[in-house]
Amino acid sequence: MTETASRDASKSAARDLWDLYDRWYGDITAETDANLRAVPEIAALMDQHQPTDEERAASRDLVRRALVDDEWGPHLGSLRQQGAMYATIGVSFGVWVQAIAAFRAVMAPRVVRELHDEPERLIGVLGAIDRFIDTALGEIGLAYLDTKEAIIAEQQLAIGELSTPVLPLAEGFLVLPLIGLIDTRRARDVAEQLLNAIRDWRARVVIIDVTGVPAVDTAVANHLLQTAQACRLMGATPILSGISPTNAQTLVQLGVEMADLLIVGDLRRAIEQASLVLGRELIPATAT
Amino acid sequence: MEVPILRFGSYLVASVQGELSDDDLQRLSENLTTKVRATRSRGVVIDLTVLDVVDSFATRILRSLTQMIRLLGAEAVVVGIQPGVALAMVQLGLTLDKTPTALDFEDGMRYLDELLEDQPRERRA
Repeated sequence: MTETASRDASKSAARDLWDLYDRWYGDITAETDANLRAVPEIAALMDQHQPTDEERAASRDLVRRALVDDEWGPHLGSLRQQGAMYATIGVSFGVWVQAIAAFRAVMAPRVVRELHDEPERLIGVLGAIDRFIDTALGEIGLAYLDTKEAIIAEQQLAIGELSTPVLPLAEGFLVLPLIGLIDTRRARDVAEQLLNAIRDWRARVVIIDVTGVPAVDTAVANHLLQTAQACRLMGATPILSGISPTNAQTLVQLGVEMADLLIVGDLRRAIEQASLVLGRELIPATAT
Repeated sequence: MEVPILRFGSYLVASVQGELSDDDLQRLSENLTTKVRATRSRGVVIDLTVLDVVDSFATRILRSLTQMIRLLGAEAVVVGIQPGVALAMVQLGLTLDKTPTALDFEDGMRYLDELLEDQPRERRA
């Protein structure tokens, strides 16, 4: 079969599907709705918003234009819009799979009963149902992906804006408390901020505290080392503090070498160490 | 661009005025070591404030230069590396190893003062 012939066949099958769908519209809609009611998440949605007759007519018309006129754009556009809307309000993608499975479960047996004497047409229409459903699911899936990706991008921006403060604790003395996961981009931002702060505050000692960093890997360790080396190039002594036991284990297992870095257990000891480097008492000794 | 070398008490100051070619760096290295010996300086400040780029050749020269100066009985400190330059250097894997660094000229002078404070001139001369 040539490509054109196969396209013609699928077009006529689509029209066939429309004729049946159109004829049974009332029953199909009622049955599908009943099936969907069995799924709690969908039932909740249907309670919130019952489609009006106009809405139903409009979407029916979109389906007609897709199946009869082979004009899929508006139908797909509407699916995309719905997908994006439901993705935003947090309806799971699984709901769509169920909704569409419900439609197939209602439609397919009817078609088989109707056309069992005409196997050629039957195969054509069943194929048309599959294409119709696959296209719809694919389009909704894309809308979901797009929406979720947009959400992720937004969150990354938000995380980036939760900038890591560089705290001037005493003259010539900065503390950089790192909190949360560090990726390459954030590591770069942090390094830049820290180096600028060294220049602005004329810092001679910098504590990089990683108590709030839940996990490290080779990349993170390298970023830390690079930041420390850059501090040194600017004449400040870096002190690393707060490596957790878990992180220590990971670092050793990864074989990360931090030998030439001044490392202390916690922030308190780091401050004591900083006093030594600066040659003066930063925090008065308490009577403990 | 030739790097002027200024005398400041018992220190020498090499104040880089613009981008340096490899030849300039080589010449700086020769001039500075000669001058340390000639003036019997105890400390050298190499000021890189104006540089936008420090490449691998410059890094190597700076490392060897500070070692040579140490062999001549003086101390050297590299000052004025800007944040962006520092970041670029570590990303290229360039470090100055044991070469002392300081934020700027003032801090570099203070570093030399503190370092040489308890070393009598006679003993080092």
